[in-house]
Amino acid sequence: MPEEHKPAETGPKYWVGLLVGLAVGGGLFWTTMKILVAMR
Amino acid sequence: MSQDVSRRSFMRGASLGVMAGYFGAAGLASTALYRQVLPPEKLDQTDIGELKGLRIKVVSETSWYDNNVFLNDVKGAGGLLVNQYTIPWSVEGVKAGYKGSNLGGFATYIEAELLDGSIKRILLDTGWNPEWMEKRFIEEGVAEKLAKNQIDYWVMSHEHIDHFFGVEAVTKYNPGQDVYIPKGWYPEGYDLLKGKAFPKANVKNDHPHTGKVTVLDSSKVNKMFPGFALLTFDVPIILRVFGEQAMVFNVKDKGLVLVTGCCHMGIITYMETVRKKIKGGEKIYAVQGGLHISPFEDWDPQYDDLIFAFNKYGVQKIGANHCTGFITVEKMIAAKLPVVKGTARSMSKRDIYLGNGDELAIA
Amino acid sequence: MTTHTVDAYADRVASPVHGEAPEYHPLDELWLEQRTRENLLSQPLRGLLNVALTFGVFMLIWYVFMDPRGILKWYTPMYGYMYIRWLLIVAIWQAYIFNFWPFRQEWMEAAHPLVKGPVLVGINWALTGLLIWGGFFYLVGKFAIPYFSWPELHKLGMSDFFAREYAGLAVLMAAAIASWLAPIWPMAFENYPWHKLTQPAKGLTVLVITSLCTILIFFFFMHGHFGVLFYPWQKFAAAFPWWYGYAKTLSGNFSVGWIMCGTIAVWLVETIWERYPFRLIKTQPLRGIVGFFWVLLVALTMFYTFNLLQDLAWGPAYEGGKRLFAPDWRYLHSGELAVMMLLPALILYFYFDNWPRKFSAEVNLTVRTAITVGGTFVFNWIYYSVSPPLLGTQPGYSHPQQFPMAPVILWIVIMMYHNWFMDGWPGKRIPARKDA
Repeated sequence: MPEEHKPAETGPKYWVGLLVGLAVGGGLFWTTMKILVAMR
Repeated sequence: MSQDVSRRSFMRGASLGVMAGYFGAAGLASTALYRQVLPPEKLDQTDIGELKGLRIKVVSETSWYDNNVFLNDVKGAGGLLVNQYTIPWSVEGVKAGYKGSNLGGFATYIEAELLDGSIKRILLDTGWNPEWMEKRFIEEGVAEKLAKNQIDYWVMSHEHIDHFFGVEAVTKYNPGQDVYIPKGWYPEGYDLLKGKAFPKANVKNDHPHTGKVTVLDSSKVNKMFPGFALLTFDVPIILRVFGEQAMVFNVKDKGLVLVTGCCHMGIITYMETVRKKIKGGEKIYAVQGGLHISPFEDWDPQYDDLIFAFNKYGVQKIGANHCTGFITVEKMIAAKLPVVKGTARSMSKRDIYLGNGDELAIA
Repeated sequence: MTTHTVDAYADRVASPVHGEAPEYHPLDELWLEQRTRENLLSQPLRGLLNVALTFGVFMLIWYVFMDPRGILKWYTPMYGYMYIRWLLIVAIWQAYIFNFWPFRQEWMEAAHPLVKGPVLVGINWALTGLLIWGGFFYLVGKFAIPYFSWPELHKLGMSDFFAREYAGLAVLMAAAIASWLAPIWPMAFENYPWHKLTQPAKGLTVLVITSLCTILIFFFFMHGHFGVLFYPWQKFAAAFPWWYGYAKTLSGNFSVGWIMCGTIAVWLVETIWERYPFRLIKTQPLRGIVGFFWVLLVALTMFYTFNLLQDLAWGPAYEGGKRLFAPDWRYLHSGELAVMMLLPALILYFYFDNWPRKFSAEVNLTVRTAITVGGTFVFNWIYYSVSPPLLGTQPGYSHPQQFPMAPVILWIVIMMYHNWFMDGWPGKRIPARKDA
């Protein structure tokens, strides 16, 4: 599919996505920790 | 089209971000932020009351006589995960044994003097070889007390061969004696109590138990009488056994005295648990019993960790014997830990620790 | 020719990445990467059947060789685990280092899996037996270092049972370190700088280099454990465990833990992560060097994270503790948890076509990782619930004679036999050559 190789791919949306993802990922790990302590 | 591209772009960035965020947070939390993410320790101490004094008599600590014979029995059957009720234990032809049998047993007799001066009598475990155990019970006066219904508490630390297979030596003198066992016993244990035999393992019980069986679990500190409590540990043990309970006594003006059968949960774990769950747990005065560190005279650097850590608990008397292991005791003595010496009589092998017939008195 | 194949499944299908040319010419390719296979069954039957098949074979082998209720009862646990670790490294040598030499590509493609499998597995078992008994027990143990040899330790006065266990630990650790280091060369370095050699020269060279590294790592990280394992401490022959102050234990389990994470990280990077991100570097040896450190970073992240998760779940361990509260057991258990993580990853990779593959690399990798992480928690729960009746083990997380890595790695070895030596038959097969 030709779109896959277009250089415009890492536009501003990519970095916005990255930041959102970082927050979500960090939050998921924080949740993992809380669940383990609660299960004690 | 460009909306598709930017949505795709966002998804790609977000995916990478989620992975980097999750594992980055994991890496940070587990290293730089470790102290901050760990919840603070919670103490939940129970007051178990006080005693005036304690006399702990080693009825028998020689569970088996020849380590190589024991290990060959185990290896031949398939290792330390095999069910102990199916292993053909060597009962004849053992030169170092008792009348040719490799089997001995572990049992402890305790007299606790309460604050009002009355005495409570406790029997811990029944040993392995009924003939040997009966001889020792008679010699130490335990058999007579059982027959006269003078033993107030019969406690089983755990289901192991050398603590339990000699049960008929107890039930012969008092089949109606109530018994306290820790949670985790297998059906065979209950069957043996009731009189079933396991010929493959050379164990039987010709005097079925008729008393009450109380199962104590790890959900709370089990207070028995002022100054005495039992703690159960949910610990997996070799030879297909699960669960061990151990004793805590509180002697006035001295501190806590811990008495164990085998301490399979580990003596440091035992002391840490006592510190968190028993009032006065910061000061452990004495420890007595088997500590199961190097019973087969094997070693593991983990046991050196234990000896180094033991020093920090300020214990004044260590009455270790039985499955503690000679290597452990030699290392403890070299580390200047207060090991109580014995007299090496009645088939106990060495005097570097409390042996058969030796006593530890705390008043 | 595009790297995407439509009808047949190529084991190495590159996810499209911005900027990456569709045709990347690798320095060196494994036969496992080059072979094309066709699907004989469709999903999900193919995946489920193959998982069930390998599990069935695993259960049979476990019962015969390892189960305490079974026949040989080698799970004591180090003795049996020793064999399992060696089966794994020898399979890695066969498939990744020697690229199936001396078997030619024509034979590998034409022979039926039911012929190939037994032949290659037979060689695997024979080499394992020869290396352990001939190499370690009767050569190294007798003429170099006794603790590598069961008969030698027993002759020196140790009980038979513990002689076998101690030697088992030493021998298996050599295999474990090798199984982390050996695949790094074909995977990260593409066998650079020996990529132009033919087999067996290439394989022998990589084997010698990685074995040297293995020996060094063993001596720095495990030998100290053996120095304090015996009484008295063999203080002149082995350095005191220098990790003691940091790790709060003298035990080499500290090293075992993160090294086991290393052996797993290699395969996670190779399978579900498709060698990202270092595959973006086109030149060697930079790519290999970055790859090596990337695998190390992944391993250490896993190690410390699993340590933390245990401390959160059970409370921290303390020095001198035993069972669940022993610091050294916690480190070891991190390695065990890492192995449990590899199982869902390999099932996804081998049997479910490394799904998904149709999105961008970032999305594909993230979805696979989520499946793997979720699968780890699920498998962990299943394992501790069913292993007593299934495997003859005792209940509980920490038992002195148990080591969940052993059965899990054995199943993984069966999966590797199935996919590397038998092309995943009957789920897949290499199609007959049309021009034959």
